[in-house]
Amino acid sequence: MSAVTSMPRLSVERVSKTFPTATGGSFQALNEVALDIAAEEFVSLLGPSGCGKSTLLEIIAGLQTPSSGRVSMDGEQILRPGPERAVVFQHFALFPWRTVTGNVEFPMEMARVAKTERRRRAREYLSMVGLEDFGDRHVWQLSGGMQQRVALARAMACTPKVLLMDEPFSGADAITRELLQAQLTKLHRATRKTILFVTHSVDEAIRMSDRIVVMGTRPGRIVSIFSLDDATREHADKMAELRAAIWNLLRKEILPLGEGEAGNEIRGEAPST
Amino acid sequence: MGGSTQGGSQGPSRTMARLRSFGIALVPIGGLFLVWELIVGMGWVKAELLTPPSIAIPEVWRYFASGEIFSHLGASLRRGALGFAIAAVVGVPVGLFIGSVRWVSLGLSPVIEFLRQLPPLAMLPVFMLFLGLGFQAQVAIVIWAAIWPILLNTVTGALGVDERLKKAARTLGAGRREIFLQVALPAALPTIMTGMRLGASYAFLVLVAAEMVGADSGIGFIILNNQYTFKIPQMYAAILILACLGIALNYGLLWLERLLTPWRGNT
Ligand SMILES: Nc1ncnc2c1ncn2[C@@H]1O[C@H](COP(=O)(O)OP(=O)(O)O)[C@@H](O)[C@H]1O
Ligand SMILES: [Mg+2]
Repeated sequence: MSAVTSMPRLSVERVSKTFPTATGGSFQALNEVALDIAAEEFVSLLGPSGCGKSTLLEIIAGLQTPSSGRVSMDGEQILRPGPERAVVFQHFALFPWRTVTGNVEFPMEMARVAKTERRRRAREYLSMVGLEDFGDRHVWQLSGGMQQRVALARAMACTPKVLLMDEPFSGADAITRELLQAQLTKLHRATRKTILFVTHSVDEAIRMSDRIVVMGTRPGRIVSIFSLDDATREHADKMAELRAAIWNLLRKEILPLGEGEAGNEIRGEAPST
Repeated sequence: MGGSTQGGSQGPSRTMARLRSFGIALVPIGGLFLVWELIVGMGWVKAELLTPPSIAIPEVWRYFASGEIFSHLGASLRRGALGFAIAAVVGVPVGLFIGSVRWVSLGLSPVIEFLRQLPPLAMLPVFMLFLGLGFQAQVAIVIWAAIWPILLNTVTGALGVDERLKKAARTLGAGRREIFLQVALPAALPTIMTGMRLGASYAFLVLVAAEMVGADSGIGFIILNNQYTFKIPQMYAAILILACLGIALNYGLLWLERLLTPWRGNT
């Protein structure tokens, strides 16, 4: 009995992924990644560019298949994409020929939801992200931050169990980013959906997550996992400690690559320890 | 967070801008007519060879008032519209198919490219050989002229569909059929529309020439027939009507394009 109730929502079991290279060799993007995510968890994937965060997310989404290992949701192997695992992409991936409402209705059309019901629910999801008055707009009439919120509303319209988000806010300016983060935290509290959130901002991860999975590169792998809760977030010194610990790990991952370009990948202020 | 609203004042100001650009376009056209009138009026070109607009324009009016022009306009439009419609109905789905299946497009694109390079009028004798003089040969040459740009642009459009949008559609529950109809088709539509406009202008060009060679009706026919029978003012009047038809065609297609792809140039 207890084995069933404690079954993780998402289970990544020793997943490796290699890509063929142009020169005929192979490149290992992920090496033996193992991770369980519980049903109501908010987990961030944090790591330098090229450590395989997107690859891992797409494998969980069912858009790519692992070279070895296995991913499952509620115990069932993931073989293809499905609306129970909605994805929010960094580049929004909204359909420019559809209005805002049209975009949000898309997954419901695919699920053959009746038209009036679609309209009603689209409005509901849009008001969830504060865009109920923008339904008739075309996507290109909205700012980047608003477009990202449309993408979030569209993902919610899949009625997913899991939200997979690949650096969704990295294109937004600092203020918009804060607002989007607050909105997502609120949404997570209200819906308790499983969220896997890819970012390369330490602060963003710390702000929203129940757990932070730090990944390293060459080959892409999990370096360490940190847990935190709202009580910890209240403590300034504990937070500083956590931040320093994460930065130390990341520094070790980045420095061998050379100070310059890769170091800039991680956003936020590094504490001077 | 509300964001700025730019929708409200867009309508009227856009109409104003269009009116203004239309007005501005009239000035050089007026200038052209003036020069044309002047060339003849000053005696630089004989009026028997070049009818001045002061005479040609009333002839246009007479063509419409007598109703004589309508049967010819109708004949041209019937051939043009039918040929173009067939080219579009065949060209777009076939192009989408070719562009969606990569190996097919790799194999067929050089063939399409080759056939496209052939001046369409070069095929007129071939069609006349097979279909004789008349309606069928004229429609066939219109189809031939219009279908290559439509096909080629549709293939290009289908090949250029953003893979990320297809990927997103898959995660949103879309199957193959839905991706084709709901993602590939609308994503390719702007490029398809460019092909349609190009195809229409080729079709127009070829139709007029074909009517001069093998028809007893149509705008192309009366232009040449007026020349044969030395009705030079009427010939220029028919040319003016033809020019207006071409302009109307182009604007109509531009309007259709804006209607169908309002997001174009704004993404
Ligand atoms: N389809 C692919 N073919 C070859 N290499 C790939 C492919 N996708 C990703 N990679 C490589 O795998 C590594 C991880 O990529 P990615 O998952 O996008 O990293 P991240 O999202 O952490 O920046 C990168 O070095 C990238 O170049
Ligand atoms: Mg990435």
